[in-house]
Amino acid sequence: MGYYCLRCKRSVEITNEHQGARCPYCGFRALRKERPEEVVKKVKAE
Amino acid sequence: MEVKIIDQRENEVKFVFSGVNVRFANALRRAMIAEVPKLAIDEVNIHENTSLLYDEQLALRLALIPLKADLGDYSVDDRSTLTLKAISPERAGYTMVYSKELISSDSGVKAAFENIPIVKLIATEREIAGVRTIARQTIALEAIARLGTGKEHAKWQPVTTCGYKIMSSEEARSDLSNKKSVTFTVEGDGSVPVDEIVTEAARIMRKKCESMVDGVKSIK
Repeated sequence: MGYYCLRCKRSVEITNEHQGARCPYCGFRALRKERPEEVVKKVKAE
Repeated sequence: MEVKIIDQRENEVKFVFSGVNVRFANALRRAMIAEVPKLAIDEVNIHENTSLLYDEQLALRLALIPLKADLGDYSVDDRSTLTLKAISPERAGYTMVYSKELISSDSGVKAAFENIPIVKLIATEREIAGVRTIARQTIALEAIARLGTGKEHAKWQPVTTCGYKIMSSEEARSDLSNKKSVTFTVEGDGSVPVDEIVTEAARIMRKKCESMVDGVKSIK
């Protein structure tokens, strides 16, 4: 699962080998899961 | 053929058509209903809709809002985009979203009436273990309007009431030439001026007749 760092905005891969997750680039602890882009529903108006 | 206007208002006209065949009057009525083009919302891109209405219901409501535009600037393939973004209040209660909140990309396009209700957005407040939460409903969408005619869908019908009554005067009864007087009542939905609806319908009829004549000539 892809995550990104809330400080440096770089994408981070997390493995379950070590406890605690940190950004390997800046060391920040807050990471957010990368979500797919907003889904737009197309509706025919009739 | 003689035309006499009896009553004319902003969105309604009443006129007497004398010396016409009833079939001609009916053809004009049908042309006004089904052939005169107007702009209406045809497709809606819904980004967010947490209101009580389904996406499809919301789209249909939007489609039925008459849009005012200068039709001379539009061709069949032209599109106009209208955006709508609204959120319920910060406190418990509701807010009504009206047609005036539709923002068009083209300054010439706007809702014919500003006070057509679209949807009610409700905000509900509750407190659980001392924590107050508020759930707000939002809508964010992009509506695409295009030109169309009433024969495709009723949303492209520029008239609400459009009918005629055959005048039953002594003069009309004694007329053996089958020519009569009819009283037309045309009520527009506000998207196209009523006088323009009548003239455009007549123009369409003439065009159809001309193309038919050309077709017949080409057979010979």
